[in-house]
Amino acid sequence: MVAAGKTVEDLFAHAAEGLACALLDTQDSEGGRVLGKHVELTSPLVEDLFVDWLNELKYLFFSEKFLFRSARSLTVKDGKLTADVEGLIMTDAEAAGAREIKAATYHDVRIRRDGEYYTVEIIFDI
Amino acid sequence: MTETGLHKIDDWRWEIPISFKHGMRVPGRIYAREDFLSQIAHDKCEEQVANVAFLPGIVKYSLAMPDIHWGYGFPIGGVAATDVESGGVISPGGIGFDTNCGVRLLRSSLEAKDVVPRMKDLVKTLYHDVPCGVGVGGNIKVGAGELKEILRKGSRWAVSKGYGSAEDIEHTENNGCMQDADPSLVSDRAVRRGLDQSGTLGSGNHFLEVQAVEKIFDEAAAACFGLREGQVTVMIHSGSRGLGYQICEDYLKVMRGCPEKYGFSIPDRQLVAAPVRSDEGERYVRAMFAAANYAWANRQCLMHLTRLAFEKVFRAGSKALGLDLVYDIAHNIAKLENHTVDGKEKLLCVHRKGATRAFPKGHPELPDGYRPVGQPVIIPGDMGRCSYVLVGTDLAMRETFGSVCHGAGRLMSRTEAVKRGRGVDIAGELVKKGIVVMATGRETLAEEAPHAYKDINEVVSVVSHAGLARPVARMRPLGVIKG
Repeated sequence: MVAAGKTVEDLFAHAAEGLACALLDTQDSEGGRVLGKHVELTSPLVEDLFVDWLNELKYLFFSEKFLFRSARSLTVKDGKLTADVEGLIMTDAEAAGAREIKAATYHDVRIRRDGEYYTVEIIFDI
Repeated sequence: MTETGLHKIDDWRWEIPISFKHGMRVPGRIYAREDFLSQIAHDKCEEQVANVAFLPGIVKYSLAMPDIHWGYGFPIGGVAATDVESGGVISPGGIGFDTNCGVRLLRSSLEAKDVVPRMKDLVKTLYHDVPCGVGVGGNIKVGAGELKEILRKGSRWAVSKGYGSAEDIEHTENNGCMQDADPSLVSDRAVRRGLDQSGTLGSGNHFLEVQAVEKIFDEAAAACFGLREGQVTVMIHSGSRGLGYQICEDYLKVMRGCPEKYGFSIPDRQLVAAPVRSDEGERYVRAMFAAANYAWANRQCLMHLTRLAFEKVFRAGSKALGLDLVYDIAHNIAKLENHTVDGKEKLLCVHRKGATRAFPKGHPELPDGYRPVGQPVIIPGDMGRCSYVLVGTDLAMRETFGSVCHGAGRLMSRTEAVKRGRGVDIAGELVKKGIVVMATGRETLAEEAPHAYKDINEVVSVVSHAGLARPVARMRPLGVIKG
């Protein structure tokens, strides 16, 4: 998956949206409910924070059926990520239609500045 | 030398010289036919084989089997052994997220001609009774305390609960239990993901397949394994599910700083590693073994559910149906094994990522009954062609640390397979070949369609001609369920 954003935070948020789309075609839930969660991660390398962020969201989906929808007050600074994320708790039947993503990998992950955009290519093990 | 820098040794062996990339500690060796090389180059697999050769303590070669295809860090089909007592490392990327993904094969006393007329009913029953699909929980639910027993005991836990017999354990690699597993080194997150997934198939390339033995190549070995032409067999492919993925992810994180801490460099961060004899290395080994035990218990439970489904359809007990385990192998794992290197016996950490252990006759780790012929090596093909049982050889011990291929190997990514499969009625095509298929996952059939894989016959011919294993039996699919 390739993601881009005008800021590093946008890049992280857009990649999270991409992950949600990769997990499920339908981003709505018939019987699901909206839930908020606070996420905090630390790592000196921004690429590692990026992999951790996606793996955190993937974990929330496979353990709690929490599908990422949006992030508020997302900051990535000085080796720390904080975010208040909003997601949908999917029903068992909806979650059963998901694509199995084992993990976001570290393979050749590089966050680059390309003109006015930050870009990254991330490979999921599926 | 080829355009991509491979040196031809013979028709089945290609070498990547140490000069291919600065930092390689040993050469690479790929087992392949010449016409496989364009796909290998397309996937940049030789680059990945070369990258593995950077690992500290690696001995002899960074190896790749003929089913090689692009992976993360290691290629799929990669084998690498490191010298444990000389700073050799263990790399979670050399095992993969699905620790102890593997295959087991059951034989039966049923004849294909008698089962084919009831195949729809059988596949439907298996599909209903064997949980499959993404994140689908099973009927075998345990608490955290019981789960730790699974992580400690592997197949023995399942048998102690009545899901099988002592003979099943005897016919499982390592008797279905890595003794040094330590559940206390498994995270709460991993435990949580494992609570309801025992006895679940999963999705992706995992499957349960009813087969017919089509051809016997080695009568003596086949008789030893209880296989004969026309017989119905069942193959089960699954692994350690979400628990295993989580353990791998946890320890990749633990090891991120290890190259700097222990003073080595790697060309791909998915290859992070730690010396086996280090705190990080020892913790990972014990946690990874716990995941391996979970996978063995999982396949044991899946086999139990399979036996029950057969009993339901054929209205006879599984003993009467002769549903005995031929063997269970792991094809994503690292183990500490003794091998001879330059005339000296050494303790090696043998990584097999998409590769199968293939020990020869006489090896002490084989069950008594199989020791006269060697280890059954179970090689699944794609769902439209066939699968094989091979047997290990002495040459494999000398050249590949007793390892061979693990399957057909992908020819294209899942995305590409779906694109090419648009408009094709894959289930209908399989029905025309006499194969009944039921799948639950989104696009699973397209992703796993036969055209997405190399021809297993060609892959097996390479390991056979190279002398790494001998074909014993070929099975063709009759019915398949997929997650």
